[in-house]
Amino acid sequence: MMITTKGRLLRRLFIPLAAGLLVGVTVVLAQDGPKAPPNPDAGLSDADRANIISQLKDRNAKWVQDFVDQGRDPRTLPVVELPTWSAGARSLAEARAQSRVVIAGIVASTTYHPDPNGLTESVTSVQVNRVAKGATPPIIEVRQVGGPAWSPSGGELQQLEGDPLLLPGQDVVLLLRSGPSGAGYQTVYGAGVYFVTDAGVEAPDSNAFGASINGLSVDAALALFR
Amino acid sequence: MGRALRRLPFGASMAAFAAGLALSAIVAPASTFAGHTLGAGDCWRYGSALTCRVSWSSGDHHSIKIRAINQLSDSTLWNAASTACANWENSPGPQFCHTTAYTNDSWVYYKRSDSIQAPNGITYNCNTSGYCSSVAQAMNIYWSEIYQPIGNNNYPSVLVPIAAHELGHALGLAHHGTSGSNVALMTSGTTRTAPNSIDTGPLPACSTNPVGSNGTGGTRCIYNGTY
Repeated sequence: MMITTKGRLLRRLFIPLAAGLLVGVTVVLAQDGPKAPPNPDAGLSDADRANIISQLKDRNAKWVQDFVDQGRDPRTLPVVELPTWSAGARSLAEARAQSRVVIAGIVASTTYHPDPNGLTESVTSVQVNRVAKGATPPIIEVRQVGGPAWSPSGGELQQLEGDPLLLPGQDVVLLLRSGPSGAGYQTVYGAGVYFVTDAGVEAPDSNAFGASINGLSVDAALALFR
Repeated sequence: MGRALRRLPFGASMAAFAAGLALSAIVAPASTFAGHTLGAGDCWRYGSALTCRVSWSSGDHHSIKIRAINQLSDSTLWNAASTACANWENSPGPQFCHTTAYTNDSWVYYKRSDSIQAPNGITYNCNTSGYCSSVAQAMNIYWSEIYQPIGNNNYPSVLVPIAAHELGHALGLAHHGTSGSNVALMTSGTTRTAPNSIDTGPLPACSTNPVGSNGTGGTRCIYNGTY
Protein backbone atom coordinates (compact mmCIF):
# COMPACT_ATOMS: atom_id res chain seq x y z
CA MET A 1 0.00 0.00 0.00
CA MET A 2 2.86 2.37 0.87
CA ILE A 3 4.71 1.40 -2.35
CA THR A 4 1.63 2.21 -4.38
CA THR A 5 1.29 5.60 -2.71
CA LYS A 6 4.98 6.36 -3.28
CA GLY A 7 4.74 5.27 -6.91
CA ARG A 8 1.72 7.49 -7.43
CA LEU A 9 3.57 10.32 -5.75
CA LEU A 10 6.64 9.84 -7.94
CA ARG A 11 4.51 9.74 -11.07
CA ARG A 12 2.82 12.95 -9.99
CA LEU A 13 6.24 14.57 -9.49
CA PHE A 14 7.94 13.18 -12.57
CA ILE A 15 5.28 14.18 -15.09
CA PRO A 16 5.14 17.87 -14.13
CA LEU A 17 8.94 17.96 -13.82
CA ALA A 18 9.26 16.63 -17.35
CA ALA A 19 6.52 18.99 -18.56
CA GLY A 20 8.24 21.96 -16.99
CA LEU A 21 11.54 20.94 -18.55
CA LEU A 22 9.91 20.53 -21.97
CA VAL A 23 8.14 23.89 -21.80
CA GLY A 24 11.26 25.66 -20.58
CA VAL A 25 13.53 24.22 -23.26
CA THR A 26 10.96 24.98 -25.96
CA VAL A 27 10.64 28.58 -24.85
CA VAL A 28 14.40 29.07 -24.67
CA LEU A 29 14.95 27.53 -28.09
CA ALA A 30 12.14 29.57 -29.61
CA GLN A 31 13.44 32.92 -28.43
CA ASP A 32 17.12 32.32 -29.23
CA GLY A 33 18.28 33.78 -25.96
CA PRO A 34 16.87 36.44 -23.69
CA LYS A 35 14.39 38.84 -25.19
CA ALA A 36 15.80 41.98 -26.78
CA PRO A 37 14.52 45.30 -25.42
CA PRO A 38 11.83 47.24 -27.28
CA ASN A 39 13.06 49.68 -29.90
CA PRO A 40 12.89 53.17 -28.34
CA ASP A 41 12.87 54.65 -31.84
CA ALA A 42 9.81 52.76 -33.03
CA GLY A 43 7.51 55.17 -34.82
CA LEU A 44 9.92 58.10 -34.59
CA SER A 45 11.09 60.11 -37.58
CA ASP A 46 14.77 60.81 -38.17
CA ALA A 47 14.16 64.35 -36.94
CA ASP A 48 12.64 63.00 -33.70
CA ARG A 49 15.61 60.69 -33.18
CA ALA A 50 18.13 63.43 -33.84
CA ASN A 51 16.27 65.71 -31.46
CA ILE A 52 16.44 63.14 -28.65
CA ILE A 53 20.19 62.78 -29.11
CA SER A 54 20.64 66.53 -29.32
CA GLN A 55 18.76 67.08 -26.05
CA LEU A 56 20.86 64.45 -24.27
CA LYS A 57 24.06 66.04 -25.54
CA ASP A 58 22.87 69.49 -24.44
CA ARG A 59 22.23 68.07 -20.97
CA ASN A 60 25.73 66.57 -20.93
CA ALA A 61 27.34 69.85 -22.06
CA LYS A 62 25.47 71.76 -19.35
CA TRP A 63 26.71 69.26 -16.76
CA VAL A 64 30.32 69.91 -17.81
CA GLN A 65 29.77 73.67 -17.70
CA ASP A 66 28.23 73.40 -14.21
CA PHE A 67 31.18 71.27 -13.12
CA VAL A 68 33.57 74.04 -14.22
CA ASP A 69 31.43 76.88 -12.85
CA GLN A 70 31.13 75.20 -9.46
CA GLY A 71 34.89 74.68 -9.29
CA ARG A 72 34.49 70.96 -8.69
CA ASP A 73 37.60 68.84 -8.33
CA PRO A 74 38.19 66.42 -11.26
CA ARG A 75 40.17 64.18 -8.92
CA THR A 76 36.91 63.18 -7.27
CA LEU A 77 35.75 61.48 -10.48
CA PRO A 78 36.59 57.94 -11.54
CA VAL A 79 38.94 57.89 -14.54
CA VAL A 80 37.80 56.17 -17.74
CA GLU A 81 40.23 55.70 -20.62
CA LEU A 82 39.09 55.88 -24.23
CA PRO A 83 40.92 53.61 -26.68
CA THR A 84 42.11 55.25 -29.89
CA TRP A 85 43.32 53.94 -33.23
CA SER A 86 46.83 55.22 -32.58
CA ALA A 87 49.02 53.92 -29.79
CA GLY A 88 51.21 56.99 -30.13
CA ALA A 89 54.95 57.30 -30.48
CA ARG A 90 56.70 53.98 -31.08
CA SER A 91 59.94 54.92 -29.35
CA LEU A 92 61.33 57.60 -27.07
CA ALA A 93 63.39 58.86 -29.99
CA GLU A 94 60.22 59.23 -32.04
CA ALA A 95 58.50 60.99 -29.14
CA ARG A 96 61.40 63.39 -28.86
CA ALA A 97 61.37 64.00 -32.61
CA GLN A 98 57.64 64.81 -32.46
CA SER A 99 58.14 67.30 -29.65
CA ARG A 100 58.68 71.01 -30.18
CA VAL A 101 59.56 71.61 -26.54
CA VAL A 102 60.42 69.45 -23.53
CA ILE A 103 59.89 70.99 -20.11
CA ALA A 104 59.62 70.28 -16.40
CA GLY A 105 57.03 72.25 -14.50
CA ILE A 106 53.99 72.43 -12.25
CA VAL A 107 50.38 72.26 -13.40
CA ALA A 108 48.88 75.55 -12.21
CA SER A 109 45.24 75.23 -13.28
CA THR A 110 42.94 73.39 -15.64
CA THR A 111 39.60 74.17 -17.20
CA TYR A 112 37.37 72.30 -19.60
CA HIS A 113 35.25 73.36 -22.53
CA PRO A 114 33.79 71.86 -25.69
CA ASP A 115 35.82 72.31 -28.87
CA PRO A 116 33.93 73.66 -31.93
CA ASN A 117 32.58 70.15 -32.63
CA GLY A 118 31.42 69.34 -29.13
CA LEU A 119 34.35 67.23 -27.96
CA THR A 120 35.43 68.16 -24.44
CA GLU A 121 38.90 69.66 -24.32
CA SER A 122 41.10 70.19 -21.29
CA VAL A 123 43.05 73.46 -21.25
CA THR A 124 45.85 73.54 -18.71
CA SER A 125 48.23 76.27 -17.56
CA VAL A 126 51.67 74.93 -16.74
CA GLN A 127 54.33 76.90 -14.92
CA VAL A 128 57.60 76.05 -16.65
CA ASN A 129 60.57 75.51 -14.32
CA ARG A 130 63.10 73.91 -16.68
CA VAL A 131 63.39 73.63 -20.45
CA ALA A 132 65.30 70.76 -22.06
CA LYS A 133 64.35 71.39 -25.67
CA GLY A 134 63.07 74.49 -27.45
CA ALA A 135 62.09 77.74 -25.80
CA THR A 136 58.89 78.64 -23.93
CA PRO A 137 57.43 81.51 -21.93
CA PRO A 138 57.23 80.95 -18.13
CA ILE A 139 53.58 79.91 -18.35
CA ILE A 140 52.28 77.81 -21.22
CA GLU A 141 48.88 76.48 -22.24
CA VAL A 142 48.54 72.75 -22.92
CA ARG A 143 45.47 71.28 -24.63
CA GLN A 144 44.33 67.67 -24.35
CA VAL A 145 41.22 65.82 -25.47
CA GLY A 146 39.03 64.74 -22.55
CA GLY A 147 37.66 65.98 -19.25
CA PRO A 148 34.71 65.53 -16.94
CA ALA A 149 31.68 63.86 -18.49
CA TRP A 150 28.16 63.16 -17.31
CA SER A 151 27.42 59.63 -16.15
CA PRO A 152 24.44 58.15 -14.33
CA SER A 153 26.64 57.63 -11.28
CA GLY A 154 27.67 61.28 -10.92
CA GLY A 155 30.23 61.81 -13.63
CA GLU A 156 33.59 60.46 -14.75
CA LEU A 157 36.89 61.85 -15.94
CA GLN A 158 37.42 60.72 -19.51
CA GLN A 159 40.90 60.71 -20.99
CA LEU A 160 42.54 59.13 -24.02
CA GLU A 161 44.37 55.86 -23.43
CA GLY A 162 47.80 57.29 -24.25
CA ASP A 163 47.33 60.76 -22.85
CA PRO A 164 46.54 61.11 -19.14
CA LEU A 165 44.93 64.43 -18.30
CA LEU A 166 47.00 66.99 -16.42
CA LEU A 167 45.53 67.99 -13.07
CA PRO A 168 46.31 71.03 -10.90
CA GLY A 169 49.26 70.64 -8.55
CA GLN A 170 50.99 67.88 -10.50
CA ASP A 171 54.76 68.04 -10.88
CA VAL A 172 55.42 66.97 -14.47
CA VAL A 173 57.86 66.44 -17.30
CA LEU A 174 56.17 67.09 -20.65
CA LEU A 175 57.02 66.49 -24.30
CA LEU A 176 54.92 69.00 -26.21
CA ARG A 177 54.09 69.71 -29.83
CA SER A 178 52.37 72.71 -31.33
CA GLY A 179 48.62 73.01 -30.82
CA PRO A 180 46.22 72.21 -33.69
CA SER A 181 46.05 75.77 -35.05
CA GLY A 182 49.45 76.83 -33.83
CA ALA A 183 48.02 78.09 -30.53
CA GLY A 184 49.43 76.60 -27.34
CA TYR A 185 50.73 73.06 -27.10
CA GLN A 186 49.54 69.47 -27.11
CA THR A 187 51.19 66.60 -25.29
CA VAL A 188 53.01 64.17 -27.60
CA TYR A 189 50.48 61.35 -27.85
CA GLY A 190 51.43 58.13 -26.07
CA ALA A 191 54.69 59.34 -24.56
CA GLY A 192 54.35 62.99 -23.65
CA VAL A 193 53.34 63.01 -19.97
CA TYR A 194 55.52 61.98 -17.01
CA PHE A 195 54.82 62.57 -13.33
CA VAL A 196 57.47 63.56 -10.79
CA THR A 197 57.05 61.73 -7.49
CA ASP A 198 59.19 61.08 -4.42
CA ALA A 199 60.50 58.01 -6.26
CA GLY A 200 61.57 60.05 -9.28
CA VAL A 201 60.01 60.42 -12.70
CA GLU A 202 57.23 57.95 -13.48
CA ALA A 203 55.54 57.16 -16.75
CA PRO A 204 51.80 56.46 -16.69
CA ASP A 205 50.73 52.85 -17.22
CA SER A 206 49.65 53.59 -20.79
CA ASN A 207 53.19 54.69 -21.70
CA ALA A 208 55.19 51.85 -23.28
CA PHE A 209 58.53 53.29 -22.23
CA GLY A 210 58.15 53.26 -18.47
CA ALA A 211 61.06 50.85 -18.05
CA SER A 212 63.44 53.43 -19.52
CA ILE A 213 62.10 56.34 -17.50
CA ASN A 214 60.70 55.22 -14.18
CA GLY A 215 62.83 56.18 -11.20
CA LEU A 216 65.04 58.64 -13.06
CA SER A 217 65.71 62.05 -11.54
CA VAL A 218 64.19 65.03 -13.36
CA ASP A 219 67.68 65.98 -14.57
CA ALA A 220 68.28 62.52 -16.00
CA ALA A 221 64.84 62.40 -17.63
CA LEU A 222 65.33 65.80 -19.25
CA ALA A 223 68.75 64.74 -20.46
CA LEU A 224 67.11 61.81 -22.28
CA PHE A 225 65.04 64.22 -24.34
CA ARG A 226 67.58 67.02 -24.78
CA MET B 1 -3.92 12.09 6.50
CA GLY B 2 -5.45 10.93 3.24
CA ARG B 3 -6.53 14.51 2.48
CA ALA B 4 -3.02 15.70 3.20
CA LEU B 5 -1.54 13.10 0.87
CA ARG B 6 -3.89 14.16 -1.88
CA ARG B 7 -2.88 17.85 -1.40
CA LEU B 8 0.85 17.17 -1.22
CA PRO B 9 1.19 15.78 -4.73
CA PHE B 10 -0.55 18.88 -6.18
CA GLY B 11 1.79 21.28 -4.37
CA ALA B 12 4.71 19.06 -5.20
CA SER B 13 3.56 18.97 -8.82
CA MET B 14 3.75 22.73 -9.06
CA ALA B 15 7.16 22.70 -7.43
CA ALA B 16 8.29 20.02 -9.85
CA PHE B 17 7.01 22.02 -12.82
CA ALA B 18 8.92 25.06 -11.60
CA ALA B 19 11.98 22.91 -11.04
CA GLY B 20 11.65 21.66 -14.60
CA LEU B 21 11.55 25.22 -15.90
CA ALA B 22 14.59 26.10 -13.85
CA LEU B 23 16.40 22.99 -15.04
CA SER B 24 15.64 23.91 -18.64
CA ALA B 25 17.57 27.14 -18.18
CA ILE B 26 20.60 25.04 -17.32
CA VAL B 27 20.38 22.40 -20.02
CA ALA B 28 19.18 24.55 -22.95
CA PRO B 29 21.66 26.33 -25.27
CA ALA B 30 20.98 29.72 -23.66
CA SER B 31 22.95 28.52 -20.64
CA THR B 32 26.10 29.15 -22.66
CA PHE B 33 25.50 32.85 -21.99
CA ALA B 34 26.52 32.36 -18.40
CA GLY B 35 29.94 32.34 -16.88
CA HIS B 36 31.75 34.91 -19.00
CA THR B 37 33.39 38.14 -17.96
CA LEU B 38 31.14 41.04 -18.83
CA GLY B 39 32.27 44.51 -19.65
CA ALA B 40 35.92 43.59 -19.93
CA GLY B 41 36.42 45.33 -23.22
CA ASP B 42 34.17 43.77 -25.75
CA CYS B 43 30.64 44.36 -24.61
CA TRP B 44 29.79 40.78 -23.79
CA ARG B 45 27.29 39.82 -24.91
CA TYR B 46 24.00 39.31 -26.74
CA GLY B 47 21.03 39.09 -24.47
CA SER B 48 22.95 39.89 -21.31
CA ALA B 49 22.27 42.92 -19.19
CA LEU B 50 25.51 44.31 -20.57
CA THR B 51 24.84 43.73 -24.22
CA CYS B 52 26.49 46.11 -26.62
CA ARG B 53 24.65 47.82 -29.44
CA VAL B 54 21.09 46.67 -29.18
CA SER B 55 19.37 44.50 -31.74
CA TRP B 56 15.93 45.92 -31.08
CA SER B 57 13.13 43.43 -30.56
CA SER B 58 11.32 44.52 -33.69
CA GLY B 59 14.35 43.59 -35.75
CA ASP B 60 16.38 40.51 -36.55
CA HIS B 61 17.97 39.43 -33.29
CA HIS B 62 20.94 37.94 -35.07
CA SER B 63 22.13 41.06 -36.80
CA ILE B 64 22.92 44.72 -36.28
CA LYS B 65 22.16 47.42 -38.81
CA ILE B 66 24.38 50.49 -38.65
CA ARG B 67 23.58 53.73 -40.41
CA ALA B 68 26.71 55.88 -40.81
CA ILE B 69 25.83 59.58 -40.71
CA ASN B 70 28.11 62.22 -42.19
CA GLN B 71 28.95 65.15 -39.92
CA LEU B 72 32.56 65.40 -41.05
CA SER B 73 32.27 68.47 -43.29
CA ASP B 74 35.00 66.98 -45.45
CA SER B 75 34.51 64.83 -48.53
CA THR B 76 37.82 62.96 -48.25
CA LEU B 77 37.17 61.88 -44.67
CA TRP B 78 33.57 60.94 -45.57
CA ASN B 79 34.64 58.92 -48.61
CA ALA B 80 36.93 56.93 -46.32
CA ALA B 81 34.13 56.46 -43.79
CA SER B 82 31.75 55.30 -46.53
CA THR B 83 34.32 52.78 -47.74
CA ALA B 84 34.83 51.56 -44.16
CA CYS B 85 31.07 51.15 -43.75
CA ALA B 86 30.84 49.18 -47.00
CA ASN B 87 33.76 46.97 -45.95
CA TRP B 88 31.93 45.95 -42.74
CA GLU B 89 28.71 45.44 -44.74
CA ASN B 90 30.44 43.20 -47.29
CA SER B 91 32.27 41.06 -44.74
CA PRO B 92 30.80 37.84 -43.34
CA GLY B 93 28.99 38.25 -40.06
CA PRO B 94 25.88 39.77 -38.52
CA GLN B 95 26.86 43.41 -39.08
CA PHE B 96 25.41 45.61 -41.78
CA CYS B 97 26.30 49.19 -42.54
CA HIS B 98 24.60 51.67 -44.86
CA THR B 99 25.00 55.38 -45.35
CA THR B 100 21.25 55.77 -45.99
CA ALA B 101 18.22 55.03 -43.81
CA TYR B 102 16.86 51.49 -43.49
CA THR B 103 14.51 49.72 -41.10
CA ASN B 104 15.66 49.39 -37.48
CA ASP B 105 18.96 51.05 -38.18
CA SER B 106 21.26 52.13 -35.36
CA TRP B 107 23.11 55.41 -35.74
CA VAL B 108 26.83 56.06 -35.89
CA TYR B 109 27.86 59.68 -36.42
CA TYR B 110 31.17 60.37 -38.13
CA LYS B 111 32.23 63.72 -36.69
CA ARG B 112 35.27 65.91 -36.90
CA SER B 113 37.43 67.22 -34.13
CA ASP B 114 40.67 68.91 -34.99
CA SER B 115 41.65 68.82 -31.31
CA ILE B 116 42.74 65.23 -31.93
CA GLN B 117 46.33 64.67 -33.04
CA ALA B 118 46.51 63.08 -36.49
CA PRO B 119 46.49 60.33 -37.47
CA ASN B 120 43.90 59.06 -35.03
CA GLY B 121 40.25 58.42 -34.26
CA ILE B 122 38.13 58.14 -31.10
CA THR B 123 34.78 56.47 -30.55
CA TYR B 124 32.21 57.33 -27.90
CA ASN B 125 29.35 54.90 -27.39
CA CYS B 126 26.17 56.30 -25.84
CA ASN B 127 23.17 54.62 -24.22
CA THR B 128 19.54 55.76 -24.08
CA SER B 129 20.17 57.88 -20.98
CA GLY B 130 22.81 59.83 -22.92
CA TYR B 131 25.79 58.34 -21.12
CA CYS B 132 28.64 58.49 -23.65
CA SER B 133 31.87 56.67 -22.84
CA SER B 134 34.49 54.12 -23.79
CA VAL B 135 33.76 50.78 -25.44
CA ALA B 136 35.13 49.25 -22.24
CA GLN B 137 32.08 50.53 -20.36
CA ALA B 138 29.43 47.88 -20.87
CA MET B 139 26.17 49.35 -22.02
CA ASN B 140 23.33 48.96 -24.44
CA ILE B 141 24.57 51.28 -27.16
CA TYR B 142 21.92 53.64 -28.54
CA TRP B 143 24.17 55.72 -30.77
CA SER B 144 27.91 56.25 -31.33
CA GLU B 145 30.11 59.18 -32.26
CA ILE B 146 33.37 58.68 -34.11
CA TYR B 147 35.68 61.70 -34.05
CA GLN B 148 38.54 62.24 -36.48
CA PRO B 149 40.77 65.24 -37.17
CA ILE B 150 41.10 66.86 -40.60
CA GLY B 151 44.81 66.14 -40.25
CA ASN B 152 44.08 62.48 -41.02
CA ASN B 153 43.96 63.54 -44.67
CA ASN B 154 47.74 63.93 -44.46
CA TYR B 155 47.96 60.17 -43.93
CA PRO B 156 45.93 58.77 -46.87
CA SER B 157 47.08 55.19 -46.36
CA VAL B 158 45.32 54.97 -42.99
CA LEU B 159 42.15 56.95 -43.70
CA VAL B 160 40.02 53.85 -44.30
CA PRO B 161 41.74 51.76 -41.58
CA ILE B 162 40.97 54.44 -38.97
CA ALA B 163 37.34 54.82 -40.07
CA ALA B 164 36.83 51.03 -40.17
CA HIS B 165 38.63 50.41 -36.86
CA GLU B 166 36.51 53.01 -35.07
CA LEU B 167 33.34 51.51 -36.55
CA GLY B 168 34.43 48.26 -34.89
CA HIS B 169 34.42 50.07 -31.53
CA ALA B 170 30.95 51.38 -32.34
CA LEU B 171 29.88 47.76 -32.88
CA GLY B 172 31.19 46.95 -29.41
CA LEU B 173 34.61 45.50 -30.18
CA ALA B 174 37.65 46.30 -28.04
CA HIS B 175 41.25 46.30 -29.19
CA HIS B 176 42.73 42.96 -30.13
CA GLY B 177 46.38 41.91 -30.17
CA THR B 178 49.60 43.78 -29.57
CA SER B 179 49.67 47.33 -30.83
CA GLY B 180 51.15 47.43 -34.33
CA SER B 181 50.92 43.65 -34.86
CA ASN B 182 48.15 44.24 -37.42
CA VAL B 183 46.58 40.85 -36.75
CA ALA B 184 43.06 42.26 -36.98
CA LEU B 185 41.18 45.41 -37.86
CA MET B 186 40.70 45.91 -34.13
CA THR B 187 44.46 45.99 -33.48
CA SER B 188 45.67 49.41 -32.40
CA GLY B 189 47.46 51.11 -35.30
CA THR B 190 46.04 48.71 -37.87
CA THR B 191 46.50 49.30 -41.58
CA ARG B 192 43.76 46.81 -42.47
CA THR B 193 40.79 48.25 -44.25
CA ALA B 194 38.20 45.56 -43.50
CA PRO B 195 37.37 43.13 -40.70
CA ASN B 196 38.88 39.65 -40.80
CA SER B 197 37.85 36.39 -39.12
CA ILE B 198 39.12 37.61 -35.75
CA ASP B 199 36.99 40.74 -35.91
CA THR B 200 33.82 38.93 -36.93
CA GLY B 201 34.50 35.78 -34.92
CA PRO B 202 33.75 32.12 -35.58
CA LEU B 203 30.58 30.17 -36.16
CA PRO B 204 28.93 28.98 -34.07
CA ALA B 205 29.04 32.33 -32.29
CA CYS B 206 31.23 32.53 -29.21
CA SER B 207 32.71 29.07 -29.79
CA THR B 208 36.33 30.15 -29.30
CA ASN B 209 37.87 30.04 -25.87
CA PRO B 210 38.20 31.91 -23.72
CA VAL B 211 35.02 33.70 -24.73
CA GLY B 212 34.99 37.20 -23.37
CA SER B 213 38.66 38.01 -23.55
CA ASN B 214 39.31 41.00 -25.74
CA GLY B 215 38.40 40.41 -29.34
CA THR B 216 38.08 36.64 -29.22
CA GLY B 217 34.39 36.59 -29.97
CA GLY B 218 33.97 39.22 -32.64
CA THR B 219 30.71 40.65 -33.86
CA ARG B 220 29.13 37.23 -34.23
CA CYS B 221 29.55 36.62 -30.53
CA ILE B 222 28.22 40.02 -29.50
CA TYR B 223 25.14 39.78 -31.70
CA ASN B 224 24.62 36.02 -31.52
CA GLY B 225 25.24 35.88 -35.25
CA THR B 226 24.06 32.78 -37.06
CA TYR B 227 25.58 33.69 -40.43
